[in-house]
Amino acid sequence: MSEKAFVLTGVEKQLGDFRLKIDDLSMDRGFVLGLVGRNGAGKTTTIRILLNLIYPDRGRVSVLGLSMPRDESTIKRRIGYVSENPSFYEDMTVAWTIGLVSRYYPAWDQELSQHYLRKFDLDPRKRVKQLSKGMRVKLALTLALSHRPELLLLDEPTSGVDPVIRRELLEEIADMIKDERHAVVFSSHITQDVEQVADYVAIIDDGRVREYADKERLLDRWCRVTGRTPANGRDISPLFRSLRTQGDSFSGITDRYSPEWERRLEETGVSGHRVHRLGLDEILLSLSGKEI
Amino acid sequence: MLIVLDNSNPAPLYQQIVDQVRAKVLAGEIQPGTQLPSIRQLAADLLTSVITTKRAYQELEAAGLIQTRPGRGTYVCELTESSRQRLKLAEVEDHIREAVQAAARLGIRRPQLVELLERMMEAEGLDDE
Repeated sequence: MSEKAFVLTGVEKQLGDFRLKIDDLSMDRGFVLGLVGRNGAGKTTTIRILLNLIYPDRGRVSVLGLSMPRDESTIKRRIGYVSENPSFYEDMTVAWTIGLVSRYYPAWDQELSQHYLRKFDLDPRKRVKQLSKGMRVKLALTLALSHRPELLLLDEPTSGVDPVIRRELLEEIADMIKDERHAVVFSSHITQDVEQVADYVAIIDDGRVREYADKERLLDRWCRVTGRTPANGRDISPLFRSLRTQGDSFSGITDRYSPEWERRLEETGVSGHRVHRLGLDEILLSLSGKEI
Repeated sequence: MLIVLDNSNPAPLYQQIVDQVRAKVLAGEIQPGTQLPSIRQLAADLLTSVITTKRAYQELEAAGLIQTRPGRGTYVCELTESSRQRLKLAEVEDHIREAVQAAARLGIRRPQLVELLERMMEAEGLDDE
């Protein structure tokens, strides 16, 4: 069994004006990857490439140790996918929808699908058009999980969904990973969700991966540091990505915080400095060139 | 083991886990030899990531509070009285350091800070022995 949940190598795709370029992105099984980025940054495109819904111009795609597109049908049976705005036959019932999808999967477990219907409070007799957005996502998740996939791909699962359902969705993501052979990739612009359940974070901006790291290490590195500038007028800006000063106070952002970095800062003669971790949303803003 | 994570708390989630487990062990709420959940189980229970719980357990292990035996699980360590004292003091030390740093920033002098400390110890009824 391959250790890797997926591997993208040298992947490029041109879509109109937009160009996606991922040199190297992969993750081991047993973890959750959160894809973060602005709308239009390339998160959905990346997920679609993993599913072969979009075929890259260049590069290699491997999922669960198998090759896309050569092993596409085998891969598809072992993964579950929830798209951003899941579409269904609106006039049909939940039960009918499950019946339809179940036929595509040899590993479909009907009892499991019923378990999810109960758990998610989905009435099988309801027509899809009667379901709220959150219920639609839960139906899509039921369809994705009932054939016991090894990899779960979710595109903006918690967007536009009420807090109760959002919580249910995050619980399913966390639950999936109890089995260390499983993996989850989800994209979200709700950075708080990614901060909470993701093991790894990939920040995608303008078609490129700007940061990819273990979440805790990423959050360790990106900090806001405040304090008083050195009395001898020494320039501390080389230590920072961005720096603001007013009088003798400074506030700066660094993406390289570490105990050694802090020693170098102290050596410059700053005083009263305090270090705060940045949130993922602030990191995204800083990478987008916004002042924070 | 009841751990509560607070997203609005500025402390990192792994730190909150470390602090709460340490507090419970030092207070005797969790006995030495108790088995802790696996990092995966804890992550699922707390609705957080495996990386986070792994980091928390690593720090707790480095502090000598827990020990992971591969294939067997993670257990709370037996603490000697002196290591228990050392760990309790370490916890208080962090808080005192913050106060001293704040005092330094504000230009408060030593005698004033000592007096403040004495007053507070009196108010909280700290033992003199």
